[in-house]
Amino acid sequence: MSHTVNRRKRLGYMYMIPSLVILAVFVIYPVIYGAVTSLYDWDWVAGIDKKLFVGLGNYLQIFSDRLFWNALKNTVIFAVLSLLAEFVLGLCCAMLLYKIKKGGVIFRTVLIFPLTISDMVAAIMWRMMLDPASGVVNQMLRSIGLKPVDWLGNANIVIFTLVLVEVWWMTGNITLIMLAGLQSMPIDQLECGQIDGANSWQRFRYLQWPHLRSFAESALSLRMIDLLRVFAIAWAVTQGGPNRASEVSQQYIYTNGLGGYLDIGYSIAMAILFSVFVVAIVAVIKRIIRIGGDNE
Amino acid sequence: MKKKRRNLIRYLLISVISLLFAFPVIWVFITSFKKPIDATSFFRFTIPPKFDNYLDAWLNSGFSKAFLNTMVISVVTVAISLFAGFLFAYAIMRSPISSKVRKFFFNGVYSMRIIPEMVFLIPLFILYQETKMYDTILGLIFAFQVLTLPYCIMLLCNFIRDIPPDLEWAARLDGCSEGQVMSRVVLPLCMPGIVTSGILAFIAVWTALMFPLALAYSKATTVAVTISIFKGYGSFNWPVMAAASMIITVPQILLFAFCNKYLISGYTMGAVKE
Repeated sequence: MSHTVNRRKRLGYMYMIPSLVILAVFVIYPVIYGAVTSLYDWDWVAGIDKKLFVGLGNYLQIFSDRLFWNALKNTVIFAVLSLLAEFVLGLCCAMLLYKIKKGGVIFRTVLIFPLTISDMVAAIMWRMMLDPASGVVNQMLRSIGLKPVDWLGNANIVIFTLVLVEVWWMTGNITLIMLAGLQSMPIDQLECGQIDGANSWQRFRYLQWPHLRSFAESALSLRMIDLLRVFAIAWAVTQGGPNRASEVSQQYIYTNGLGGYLDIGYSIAMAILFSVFVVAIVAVIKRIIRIGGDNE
Repeated sequence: MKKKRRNLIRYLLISVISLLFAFPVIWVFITSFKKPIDATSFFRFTIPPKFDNYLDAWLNSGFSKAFLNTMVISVVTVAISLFAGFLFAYAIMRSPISSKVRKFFFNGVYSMRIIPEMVFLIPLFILYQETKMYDTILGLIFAFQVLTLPYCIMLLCNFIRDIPPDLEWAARLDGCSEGQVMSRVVLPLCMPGIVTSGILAFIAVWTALMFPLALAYSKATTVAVTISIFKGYGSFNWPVMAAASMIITVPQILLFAFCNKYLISGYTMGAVKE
């Protein structure tokens, strides 16, 4: 018997080979290569051949790079606002879909269609609609007697513009996950609550929420990972403007690295430091949700 | 009576929200049939509808080529990810390896989902420049594995987990070899999982902007990049842009029409179990 166990084990490792080779060559090797390169001053504009070892110099330089911190600040504000908005809206949609008897499928399809659209297309759609002069949104505001909003040019508003596009694009994901959570809940528990005379808030708070929490946890951490990595929406809707008011981290790193300045060593250092932030922020979010659960 | 009113309010709410979500798509669809001069007005429509916009978009420099490129890249990328991903997922879920090793692989794959793309893309850009892989379809196909392979593995693990191991043991007792157990028992039962992760990976590649932007220039560009160059044209030709947006959303519309069930289970599962 142990003979077959060993054979199956060997076979298992054999099955892993294709994936491991691909991941080693195209993921792990580039990351290691990048980590080493981040220790060099290597600016392709100054000359590809000039590669100078600077140790942690690039990382130290980041700390005085105002634009890096500006982009990180924008990214975090954008991500937190979007996450809250998507979660509240997504949960509401899920509750409504759950309660509705007829036509739920149609509403669900409409709500989740944006998910499949490319973020680039989403950005272009909204760029058209939000155009300050001729966009349809401002036309509607004008026609009901409100003042048009400078969606793309006002430094205090642009982040909210990005949040708006993002919420339209991805809320469906949270709706789906929370809907799955609601549907996986045994119905008799809810009926018990009804008989005991709990009102609908109490039913939600004490019967449904404890069940939904694990779904909320994975939805929130998954969304946060993607939100922090935002690129296309900022790049295409506002180009980071005006005056870098909506520039996000990956966009800043891209501009420094590939999309213009080719300051390779420095941009990889920024990318690595940014990853550390992403991992840390996601860990914090998970922790917050867990602590929220322990009070029950 | 009260219950009826509540229900009415619910329908009202969900209708309003759905309308808000549907509006941008409907709006762009309408715009794609307009003349440029009508595109700036909410109330003006072009009659008869201008179908030429779609032709203009398709004939716009490089668009049709990018469309075909993207099709080839997406399909081959997904095929490789599914093949390698299925074997890998089956191995870590079912091979009698220690739980420590299993956990190690699982966390390794999961962490690849978290790390921002730029960490891979800048080094890959340098390596591709050196190896002549830059701006090639093959280069993009392999680079995209960063995105799709961990994704497929995670999803397929969830599906394989739900297949009762007893079925595999029964097949073994009936004299199936290990290879047959995998290909004749697990693979057919896992088909919904393969379809689901295939569709989601396809959409991920089809819509990705950052990878082709970083690793391709002219020969291997994809639709997401081409449409972003459209935008750069000094005067915004919105109806043509709208038509191009609709064209590159066709695959998703088809998937929605024919594979709705798989799409929903994929987007739901992507998060629920890690």
